[in-house]
Amino acid sequence: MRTPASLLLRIACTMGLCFMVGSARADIYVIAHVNASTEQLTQQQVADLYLGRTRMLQPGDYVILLDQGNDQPVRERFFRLLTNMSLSQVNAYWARLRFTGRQHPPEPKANDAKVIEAVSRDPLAIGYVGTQPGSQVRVVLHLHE
Amino acid sequence: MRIASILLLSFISCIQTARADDLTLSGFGTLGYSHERQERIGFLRNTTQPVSENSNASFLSDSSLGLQLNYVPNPQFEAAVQVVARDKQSTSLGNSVEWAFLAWHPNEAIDLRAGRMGLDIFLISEYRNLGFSQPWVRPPTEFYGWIPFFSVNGIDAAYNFQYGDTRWRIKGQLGTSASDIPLDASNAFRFTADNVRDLTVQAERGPWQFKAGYSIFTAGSQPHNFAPVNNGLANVAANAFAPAAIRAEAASLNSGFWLRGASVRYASVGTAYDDGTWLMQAELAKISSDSRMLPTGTSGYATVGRRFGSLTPYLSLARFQPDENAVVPVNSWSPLGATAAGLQNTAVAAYNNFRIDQRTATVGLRWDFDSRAALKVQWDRSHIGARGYGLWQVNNLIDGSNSKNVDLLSITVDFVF
Repeated sequence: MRTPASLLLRIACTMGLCFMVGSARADIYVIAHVNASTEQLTQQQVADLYLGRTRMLQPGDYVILLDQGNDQPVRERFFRLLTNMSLSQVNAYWARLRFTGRQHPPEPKANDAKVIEAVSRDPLAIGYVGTQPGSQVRVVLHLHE
Repeated sequence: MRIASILLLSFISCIQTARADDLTLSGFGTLGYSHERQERIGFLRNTTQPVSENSNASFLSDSSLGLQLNYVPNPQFEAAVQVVARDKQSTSLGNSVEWAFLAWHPNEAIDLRAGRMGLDIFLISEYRNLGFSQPWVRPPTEFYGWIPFFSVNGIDAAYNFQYGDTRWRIKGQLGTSASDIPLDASNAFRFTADNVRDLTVQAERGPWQFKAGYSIFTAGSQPHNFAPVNNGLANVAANAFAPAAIRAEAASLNSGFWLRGASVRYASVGTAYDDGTWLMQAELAKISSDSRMLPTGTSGYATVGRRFGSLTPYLSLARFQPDENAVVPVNSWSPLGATAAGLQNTAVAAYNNFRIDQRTATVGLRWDFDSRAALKVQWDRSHIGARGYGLWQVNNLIDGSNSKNVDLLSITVDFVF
C-alpha cells in the first residue's frame, strides 16, 4: 500500500473519515456484458483468467480481459481479494509469463468508467471495478473486503 | 518448416487488418554492481561474458535492459520480438535479438511457435535475464552460469491440460543455437549447436510447481586454435627421439582434444513452492558429453526465502560436482624444449578451461520498494576447487591450479515496465 491514493486513504482514516471512504471503496465487482452467456463466475474462474491460466470460459469463446492501471488502488485490492498476492508478486508473476512469451497480460484501462464503457460495448469482455456499477453491465462476481 | 510457412501466411493476412492498439511495448532491466576482492580472477555471471580478470568491481556483469514488442491481432496469433542488451562477448544486433517468433494458438491446449525462442530446459532458463521475477540477484551460477545458449532457432510446441487440480504442460523444442564464448582475454569462438532437441514436462498444483527436462544437442564447432594444438601433440607423440612416457602423454592428450561433433546432454528435475509467505526452489541436473572440453557433472541448488511485507530475506546453497578429474601435467616436457613445454601447458589449460568444481553459500535480501521495482543485496561465498575455474575468468594456468575462496558482494535494482 504505497500508492499516493492509499496514503490519502490512510490520512482520511486518521481524520475520522474512514467509514465513509472505506466502505464505499472496499468491495470489488467483476463485470460482464448484459447479454454475456455467463450469469455468474466463481472466484476460481476469475483467478484462472487473471493469472493467465486460461483464455476462455467456454470452448471457442476467447475472453477480452480488462485490467486497471498499476497505480489504481482498485488493482491492488482486486488481486489481494482474488489471489491473496501483493501487487509486486502479481507484477513479478505476470512479468514471467509476458517475458517468456507465454501469455499477454490483460489490457489496462484508466479507471472504473473506462472499464464499464468497454464491457458494455463487448459481449466477450470481463473487467472489474471498485464501485457498484449500474444496469449497463452485469455483475458476475462480488468480492467482499 | 511447413508449420512455419502456414504461420507466416496466416500472419500476413492478419497484418492487413492491423491496428495500433494490437501492438504493445514492454520491458525489463537490472542495474547491478558486483565486487570481489580476489586478485587475478574475474567474476562471470555466465560464460558468454568477457571480463578482465584484474577488475574487482563491475557494473556490467549483472546489468541489462530488455525491450519487447508484441503484436497480437487476435487471441490466436501473435508476433513478438525481444531485444536484450547485456554484457557478452559479441553484442551485434543479431546476437541481441533474444527472440523473434510467430505464435499460433489454435485452441487453449496447443501453443505452436516458429522463429527464435528462449531455450526452455530448466525451471527458469527461459527468463534467466529477468531479475524482477527471481528471488536472487542472479540465478545460481553453478546451475545457470555455464549454459552456453539462451535461445533456439527453430520451432517449439506445447500441450497444456488439466487433470484434477494439477495443470500440466508438455513442451518440445527443435532447432539450432549459437553463442560467442570467450576463451581468454583476447580469444573467443562461436559455439554452435546442431540438432537441439529438448522436452520438458511441467506440473502446477496450488503453491507447488515441478519440472523435468531432457535436452540433447551436437556441438557444431570448436575453437580454431584446436588444430595447431592437435598437430603439435601428434608431432610429439610421433617423435622418435622423445621419451616413451612423454610420447604416451602427448597421444593421450591429443585423443580427447576435440569438441566438434560431440553430443551434449542435460537431464534435470526441479521444484518450486510459493504460498505468498514462504518460497522455496531447488533443482538438480546431470550434464554429460562425449567431449572432455565441456563442463560435465552434477549440478544442483536449493533456495529458501520468506516474505515479511515488502522484505524477502533468502538463503541458498549451490554446487557443481565435476564428473572427471582435472587433467594435470604428468611428465616434464622441458627436455624437448620450451615450445613442447608450452604446448603441454596449453593443452592442459584448455582441458580445464571450462571444468567446474565449485560450491557457493548465498545470503541475500530483496526489498520490493515499488510494485514494479526491487532492490537486492546479496553476498556469495564460493569455494572453487583446483582447476575447476570454469565459471570464472582466470589469467593463466598457475592461478587455476590452486583452490580458492571468493567473496562476492552484489547490489541490484530490478525493474519492469
